Amino acid sequence: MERETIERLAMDRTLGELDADTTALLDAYLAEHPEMRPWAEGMSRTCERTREAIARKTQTSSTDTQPHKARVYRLRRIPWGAPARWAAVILISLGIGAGVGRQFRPGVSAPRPVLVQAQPTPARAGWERIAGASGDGFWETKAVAMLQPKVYELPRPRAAHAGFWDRYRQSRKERSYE
Amino acid sequence: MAQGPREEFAAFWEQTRDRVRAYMFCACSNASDADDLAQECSLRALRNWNRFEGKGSRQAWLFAIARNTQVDWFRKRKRDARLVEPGAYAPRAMPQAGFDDVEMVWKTVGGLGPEYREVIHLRFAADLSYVEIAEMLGVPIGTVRSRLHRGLKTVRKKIEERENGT
Repeated sequence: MERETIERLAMDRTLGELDADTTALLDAYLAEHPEMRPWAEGMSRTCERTREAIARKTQTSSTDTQPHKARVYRLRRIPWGAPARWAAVILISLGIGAGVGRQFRPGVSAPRPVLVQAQPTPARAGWERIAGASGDGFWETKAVAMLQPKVYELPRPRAAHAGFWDRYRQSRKERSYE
Repeated sequence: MAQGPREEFAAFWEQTRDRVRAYMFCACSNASDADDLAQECSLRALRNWNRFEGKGSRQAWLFAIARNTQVDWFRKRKRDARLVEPGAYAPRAMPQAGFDDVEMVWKTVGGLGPEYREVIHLRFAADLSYVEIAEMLGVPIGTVRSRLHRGLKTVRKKIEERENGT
């Protein structure tokens, strides 16, 4: 018989998987061929040692359940938390930056103050100074205007910068007036 | 008096609990995780106790559930795999002579390919027969025998190297 066959039979015998007849035949064969006995004994010994090692490890585990903390470490933990936080920060920053940028675009910046030489106001005296004498006083302008129905003029979209966002805001404003 | 399924399961679990736990320990090398896995396995087995169709042995059925429990556990822990340095769960003081041999064999078995390692764990930790292992894994008995032999040959080689001092 080949070495592999002897070893397999020895393994089966050690593990109790060989029937009595085959065991007797194997023993007889090994008695006739003592040079093959070390192969069988080697495999039997390996089976026993493996069984013992596994038994001792699993039994030990039940009596000593606390690992050495310093020797347990994380092998690979994908740190999704940090990149996600950074991505959120970057997105929020970009959003704020875009919003601020739209408010202060160079084309629509706030008008600069211009100094204009004012016309001298003609000196008036008494009642004329309070009510106005030329027909543009309180009763002629404000009160009459208050009695008129209000007409709201819708702001017109700026054609030069009418992007998607401007059109969306415009449509929201129009809906709010309706 | 006829037993209910719960009593039947309790009696069966009492006989197999230690082996299931040992099998789980072989997979995770961590005592508390092995306890958790064994408990999870017992719950699954109890839940499916009445679904056992009687084909094959109850033990093979139970260890198939144990194996699925392991697979799910590893899948869940895939992102957060912990490496326990070999020997981390060993007793702090070396209690017996020959403990290094145990470690060496344990490490060698752990370093085998999964198909060889699994058969060795099922045979030596779960104490299943060739027939039960074949039934559980869905492979012929000859394959079980062959895998076991190859795995043990590697272990024997390591033992011989150690004994010869190479």
